[in-house]
Amino acid sequence: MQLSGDVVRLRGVRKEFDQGRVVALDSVDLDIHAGELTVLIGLSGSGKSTLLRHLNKLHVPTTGTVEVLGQPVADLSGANLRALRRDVGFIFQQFNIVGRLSCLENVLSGALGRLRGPRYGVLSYPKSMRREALELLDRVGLGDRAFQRSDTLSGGQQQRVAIARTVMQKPKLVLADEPVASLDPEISGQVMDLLFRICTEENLSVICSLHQVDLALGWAKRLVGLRDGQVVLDKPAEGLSTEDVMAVYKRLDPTGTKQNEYEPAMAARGS
Amino acid sequence: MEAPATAAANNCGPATTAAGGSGAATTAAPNNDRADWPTKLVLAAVPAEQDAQLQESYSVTVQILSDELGIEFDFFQAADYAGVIEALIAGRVDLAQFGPFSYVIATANGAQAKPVGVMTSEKGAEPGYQSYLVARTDNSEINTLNDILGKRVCFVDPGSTSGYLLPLAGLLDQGIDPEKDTNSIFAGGHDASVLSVVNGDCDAGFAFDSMVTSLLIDRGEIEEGDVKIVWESPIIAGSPMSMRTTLPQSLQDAIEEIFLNKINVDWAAANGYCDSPDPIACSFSDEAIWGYTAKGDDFYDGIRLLCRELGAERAPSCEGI
Amino acid sequence: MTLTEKPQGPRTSTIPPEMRSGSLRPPLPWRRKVLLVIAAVYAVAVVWAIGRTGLSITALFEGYGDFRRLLDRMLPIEFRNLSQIIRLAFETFFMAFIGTAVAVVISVPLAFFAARNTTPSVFLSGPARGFIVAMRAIPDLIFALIFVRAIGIGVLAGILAIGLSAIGMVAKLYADAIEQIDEGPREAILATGASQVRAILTGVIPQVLPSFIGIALFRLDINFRTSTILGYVGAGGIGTLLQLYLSGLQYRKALGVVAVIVVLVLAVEFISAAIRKGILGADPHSHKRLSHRIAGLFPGGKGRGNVAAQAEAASRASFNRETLRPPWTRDRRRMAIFGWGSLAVLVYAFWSTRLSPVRLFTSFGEIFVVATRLVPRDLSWLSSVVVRGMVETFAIAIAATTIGLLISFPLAFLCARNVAPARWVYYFGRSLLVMNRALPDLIIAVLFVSAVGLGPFPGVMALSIGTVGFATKLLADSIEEVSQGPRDAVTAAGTTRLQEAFTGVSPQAMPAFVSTALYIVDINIRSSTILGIVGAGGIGFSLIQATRTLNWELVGGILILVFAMVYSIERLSGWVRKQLL
Repeated sequence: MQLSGDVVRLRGVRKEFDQGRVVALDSVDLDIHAGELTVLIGLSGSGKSTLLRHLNKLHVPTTGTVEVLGQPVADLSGANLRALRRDVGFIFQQFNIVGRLSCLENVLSGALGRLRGPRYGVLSYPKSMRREALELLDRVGLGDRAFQRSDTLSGGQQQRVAIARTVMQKPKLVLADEPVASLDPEISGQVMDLLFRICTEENLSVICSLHQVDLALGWAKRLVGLRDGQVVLDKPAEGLSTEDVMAVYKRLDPTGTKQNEYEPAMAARGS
Repeated sequence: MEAPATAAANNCGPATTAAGGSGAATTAAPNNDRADWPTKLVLAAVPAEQDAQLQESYSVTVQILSDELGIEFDFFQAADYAGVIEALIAGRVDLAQFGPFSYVIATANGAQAKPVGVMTSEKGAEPGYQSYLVARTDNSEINTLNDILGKRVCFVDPGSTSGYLLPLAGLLDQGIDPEKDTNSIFAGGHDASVLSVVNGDCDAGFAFDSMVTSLLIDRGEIEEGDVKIVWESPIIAGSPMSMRTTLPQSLQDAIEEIFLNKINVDWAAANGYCDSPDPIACSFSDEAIWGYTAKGDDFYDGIRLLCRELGAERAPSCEGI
Repeated sequence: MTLTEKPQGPRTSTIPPEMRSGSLRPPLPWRRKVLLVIAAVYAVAVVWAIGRTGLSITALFEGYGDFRRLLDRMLPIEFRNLSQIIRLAFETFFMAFIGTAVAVVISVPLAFFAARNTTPSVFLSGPARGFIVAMRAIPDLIFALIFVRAIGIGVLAGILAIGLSAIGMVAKLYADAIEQIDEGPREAILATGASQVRAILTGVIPQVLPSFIGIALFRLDINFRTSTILGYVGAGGIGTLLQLYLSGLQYRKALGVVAVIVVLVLAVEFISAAIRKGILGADPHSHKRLSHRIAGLFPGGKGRGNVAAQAEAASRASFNRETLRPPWTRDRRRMAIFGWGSLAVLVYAFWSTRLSPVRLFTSFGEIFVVATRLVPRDLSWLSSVVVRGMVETFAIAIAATTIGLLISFPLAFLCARNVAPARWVYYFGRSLLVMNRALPDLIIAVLFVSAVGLGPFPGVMALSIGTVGFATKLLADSIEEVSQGPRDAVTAAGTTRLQEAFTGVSPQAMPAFVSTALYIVDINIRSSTILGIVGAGGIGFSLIQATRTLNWELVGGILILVFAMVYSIERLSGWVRKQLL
């Protein structure tokens, strides 16, 4: 199903960590249009991950409003939040598949939002879903690995499982947080190719943060640049030169310290 | 009287002769009275404070009881009495073989129970035992209770009746406070107390009578004449078989009759439960006894009095008695 | 990465032909089949154990009235002679402290002999490992009973019981820590031509020291708790008072003593968490799991060191460039305070318990004599009573572990910092666990005996409840160790909390769950000894009576059987764990 209009609307979003000692996002206003393929670029620590994590309420803004798929995210909780999360797929830099489970079960876990009650083991999912998950694994080229333990796969393969899991979720919007930052260049190209091809086939809106400027320019319809938590670039990708984009990466802090991504995530969990 | 006869018949060999006896026994409880009898009874046993000598030796007692009553028995043993007392209070144990002190504790805590019989070592003997103070025979310094002033004295443990409470009362009678006037040591067991005296760790030690006069000698741990008895306590009541008084009266009568007339080596040997009327070969409990003698609850007033005299301060386990 | 994985081009299906239709059942390699067989055997064992121990839910409900009546006699808690209780509690702490020191002193060389990478010879590592397992197989209560009989009532027996039974765990964990070291530094030192001993001193000790300290502190905590039960057999300390009150059925006062113990256990845990944070915080790797074990109990107790900041502090600290003495950084100060402080406590402990270190040393001779008497000369001790007792103990342990874990699993999710639905649930749960662990098993057992009568049934109940505190803590700790990423991913799919717990958390914590479960069986076999005290079934009665009546061969024989049972379960658990990792 294709939405029209804006899938994401951010207004004056500010996010502080450590009681205000770290400002990860600062007065961000941003609209993302349906069906668009938007790429976020910026240095490590510029706020890309934090921004994405606001869109499915893994983070809550300190001030400002976040609207996703027409709903104010801050007000959502319980079943409503789960319903939103089901509509928003998320792909992580570290793949975050459950290593001890088989590939098929990892893909199946994407369907949990559509199911009631806890599941454990491939056989606890309906037969039709098992078939659906296998088809998806096949689409990412891993149909022969269905019952292999997923932590025995290579990084690129693991990310492909994660992509299949996200599609299994039947989302309307896909968020990808530096999906290829942990992969070598050749594999990165393959995985990005796969991700964007599947999302285009499924007609999904995609917001993806990327380090690689060439990949960003090659795939994006729109580029958004972040520096120190602020939007410093927001233009259609067409016609942008590499120099325009590199300006975003002008290093201000030579140490390039990066905060641990999961610490704030745990803090936000309590809310 | 079909039930007991069947039970006896199931027993192999000479035990079938018990059927005749059982017929006589249950005349005390006419058939129509058995309607309110439970189908199963529970017998529990706690080793008396005299360290138990034998293992798993209640089988003859249980056999005679179930044959005579025609009721199935469950038998449990516990190393300490707390569980058995609570089970008795809750009505989940019907017969309990206690030591004298644990019987007193049980009744003081609301167990509705009375002694059906008290263990006795010989037919007709008064069921009870004494605490002795012993010293090495070659120790000429210790001849009376007063001689232990300033000496190293072994007690058993603070919860033991004959190894601590009784000696304590005896010493206090003489105006001796063992805490202040002696160097007192807990040996951990009656045997350990005596052995400490023999090997010189203690100058004198308390233990119950037969530990000194027979058990250690039989075990070969000491020679006859190694130690001398310096002091003897008053006789303390023996170990009672206690019965829950909330059982049907006719059943209580029947059980009492069995314990007083049949659970002894003579009857057991005559009726084929034992090969010979010898307390070692024919054992009813974890001690070598002849059988049971009739005694009432007041038989244990001596211990209650002892506890009250000592007070909870000196004997914390006595509190509430 | 091979080119065949390229998903581009006209797509040919990667699904193997045999999976193109059918219901997609996971394949079953032989290892998985063996695991399934083990699981099936276990299920059968549980059914058998429940039957063997006479477990019955209805009896449990029927007994509720008696349970309540006894509970009414136990509450409210009464404090009598508080000063005496506190004095004895401190005596107990000092016993635990000396006992821990004894265990550490024996465990360090033992661990170096046992560890595969430092043992001088396989002929030493085998016996060292065997000795460690044997120490773990003997219930601490039996240790205490034996020592009381061998060297008389008092603190020395208690200290020895604590010390020797702690070796089983301390030496094992020490050996594990040694085997997990980075071999690099040692090789580098050997490469300079240094001797093996020097290489161990310089290359190994600094690596394992934080683990060693952490394990010792953890064990101190356990020792303090177990030393309270040793009074039952006259091994000194606060347990003596507890036993006196229990022998008079004065539960209110006994629970007053327990309450003081709870407070002190909390204090000890607090202090050891603080020490861990203070002196071990700088090294985030070598003691990661254990730091969770210990420090995870308390707010702020999680030692997360900032290596960079510490290094900076060290470089700033001034030092005399003439003598080149190391500067007194915060770390070094803390380490020194801890070291000298421990020594001071140890000296004070000897002084306050009036125990001469020489006596402690000479007592090992007496222990050796007793140990030789424990060796059975023939099989005359092996009677039907013993066999029945062992079978019953096994049944009790299986049933109690299963029930205890069924209670612990959901509880563990509430007591894990990273999964608990709210902070207060976590704190509340963790406090309950501490209380549960401090409550003497004997009192729990008496309550259940009152409710359902004598026999293995109350034993199973008491043991299940008694192990909940320990099992839940271990399980919750392993849940806290799962990585957050996959959990976020599962949550992001719009799952409920329960779904996330099943799919995101459980698979990650699975191996830890299994080893915890098997470890609990192991513990329950040993601690079921205590049930014999109140007539709650198992081999315990025979074992305690045999010790009391100095039937050493029977004691030794039963201990060999317990050892065999514990050892086989340990081997099995090792194998199962390896398959699941």
